[in-house]
Amino acid sequence: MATRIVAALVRSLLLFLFSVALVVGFNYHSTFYSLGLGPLLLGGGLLTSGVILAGRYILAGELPRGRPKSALSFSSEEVPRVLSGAITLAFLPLDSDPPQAGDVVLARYEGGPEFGRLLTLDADRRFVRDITEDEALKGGYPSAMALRDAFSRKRWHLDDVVALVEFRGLGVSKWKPTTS
Amino acid sequence: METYDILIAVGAAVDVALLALVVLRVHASLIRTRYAAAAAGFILMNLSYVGLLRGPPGPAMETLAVFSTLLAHALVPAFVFSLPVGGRPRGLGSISLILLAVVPLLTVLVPLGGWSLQTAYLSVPVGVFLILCLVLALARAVQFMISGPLLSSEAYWVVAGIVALLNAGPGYAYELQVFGFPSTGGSNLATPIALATFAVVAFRTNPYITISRWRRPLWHRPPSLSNGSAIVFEEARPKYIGTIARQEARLGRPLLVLDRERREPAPSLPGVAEAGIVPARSAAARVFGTASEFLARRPGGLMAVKGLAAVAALSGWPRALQLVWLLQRICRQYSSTLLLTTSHLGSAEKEDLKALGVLWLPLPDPVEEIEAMLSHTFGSEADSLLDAFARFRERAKTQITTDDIPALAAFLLETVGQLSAAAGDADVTEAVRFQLEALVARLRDFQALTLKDLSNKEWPSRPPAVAHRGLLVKAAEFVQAKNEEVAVGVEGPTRRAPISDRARPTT
Repeated sequence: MATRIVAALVRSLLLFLFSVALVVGFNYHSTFYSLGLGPLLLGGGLLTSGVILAGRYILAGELPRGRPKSALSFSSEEVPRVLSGAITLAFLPLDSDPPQAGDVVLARYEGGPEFGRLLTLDADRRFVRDITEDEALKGGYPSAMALRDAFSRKRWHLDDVVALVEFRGLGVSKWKPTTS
Repeated sequence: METYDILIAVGAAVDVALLALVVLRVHASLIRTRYAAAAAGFILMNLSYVGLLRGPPGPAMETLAVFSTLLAHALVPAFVFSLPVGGRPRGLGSISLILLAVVPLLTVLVPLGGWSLQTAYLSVPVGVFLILCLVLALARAVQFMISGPLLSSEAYWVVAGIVALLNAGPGYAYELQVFGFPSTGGSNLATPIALATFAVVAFRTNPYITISRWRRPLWHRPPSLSNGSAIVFEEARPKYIGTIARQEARLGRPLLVLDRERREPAPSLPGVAEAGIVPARSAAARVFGTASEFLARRPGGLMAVKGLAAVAALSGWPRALQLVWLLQRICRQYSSTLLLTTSHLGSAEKEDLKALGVLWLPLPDPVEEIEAMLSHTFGSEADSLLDAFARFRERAKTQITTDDIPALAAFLLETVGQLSAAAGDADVTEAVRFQLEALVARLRDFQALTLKDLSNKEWPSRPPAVAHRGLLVKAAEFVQAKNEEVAVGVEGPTRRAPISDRARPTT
């Protein structure tokens, strides 16, 4: 709750600063009024559009990291553990276009709605047989053996290459599932 | 204008801070030098502008202000041209030099032509020169942006910085002139913004390691790998790429190894530089920056990118692919060799690599080949014997390379020799020793295979393409031979514990 209030305050402050900058610009360039209504509307309109666009991004929470580019899906059993930070690693097939380092991705229920956003911290590739105990634990499996068993049910072989994506949650306010 | 002067002075202080940051933290010597020059030019320009307004008037200060303005603008394209995108075309260096050479000439001409700093952007020769400098830099940055995904993000920052300079420089000067305000020629409010964006680019292309600034002459001894080429090793795990690279390094060839996990360079190979790929989206750009710096300082050197799959994972395959393409180009430019491995790449990615026209070498997995040779002597015990060796070496079996063959030979001679000696039969001991020596010779022959031999695919695990008719064994002959073996008392492996469990190394 507190984080949400702080985030809203920061965004509002940025909007206010933008507005102040705009007013300062108008005051400083007051001579522009001598240009006439047409040029003023065109130039001023373009400038104001830019400010509105920036404000839209600020309010939508897209800044400073940009829009989410892809999504990671989790089962309903995994979601609470993702939210609590117990699961910080996802294993994805190479052909699924896994996210890159620094990407913001949507966190979704499998086949369901979004429950949060994730920031990818690291990305790498491994043979299934090379996945370590530590990586299996970070991925929410009790052991590397359990992970391999789970993968074999997905018809992933030991010599298959998988993408490992390490992530952390973004925006704590969004870490409360809105649906279940 | 007092507020403006204060902002200019504050901006100069920010410029100094950015300059210090880049000089202290950026490893790329060319980028660092040119950034420092451009930053120093801007700082001098803005301070001389403030000095001209607030300090004692005089022709010397006026000349200094004009000179620093011209110099700062000429150094912007010099910095942008130094960015490591696809090598550095020689024409760009000449353009930078011409622009710099014009600076003193114009400085002399300004008072003679009756121009002043206040009309710098408005007078024809000086204004054209100042704007031309920024436009040339902008054009090069736009070229970066549209040339591919590798440095498009970095190019965006360069474009943003130059546009800020254009807006706050000539744009603002024209605006003030239109409304009859005093000109701000000789100053630019956007220099901190431009230098900050340039610093972002310098850090995003920052080499992972510091390469000694001393530029070595072209390495010219005949290498076993051809110069100016890119070779892709098709192997499941990055093994031969390391082995072959070290072989070249032993010849004295400078070597750069780029891997996801940084390992300490071997002390016996002084020319080897190893860099670890740091997890960040800019991994591809930083790998390129590292490679550019290394090849520029060590022409004729060898670069082994073991972590291409890691780069693809961190920065995306399109960036990784353009990285390979550009590395291939600069390797040709510097008569160097690029080694890549297909380890952990997908089939579509391998096809993309092949389309670049690189030399493609399918290579065996040393573990499979060693196991095939062991099974020729030890039969089904080969697998467990290799497992025992891996445990002895405290590493995964999959990590065994041809470099481990001497240790494996010693392990076999000791452990299996001890077992045979325990039998107490001199004939058996002699027979085992003979077989072991033959096996060790085969292992050493395999280790000595060159890339050319390996590319012929005559690997121990592969049966000969055409079997000789005289070597065909009929089933009846096979059964008879087995019966004879049993008759002489050879115990089957199933009746005994695995040989690996009986093998206990003494070291």
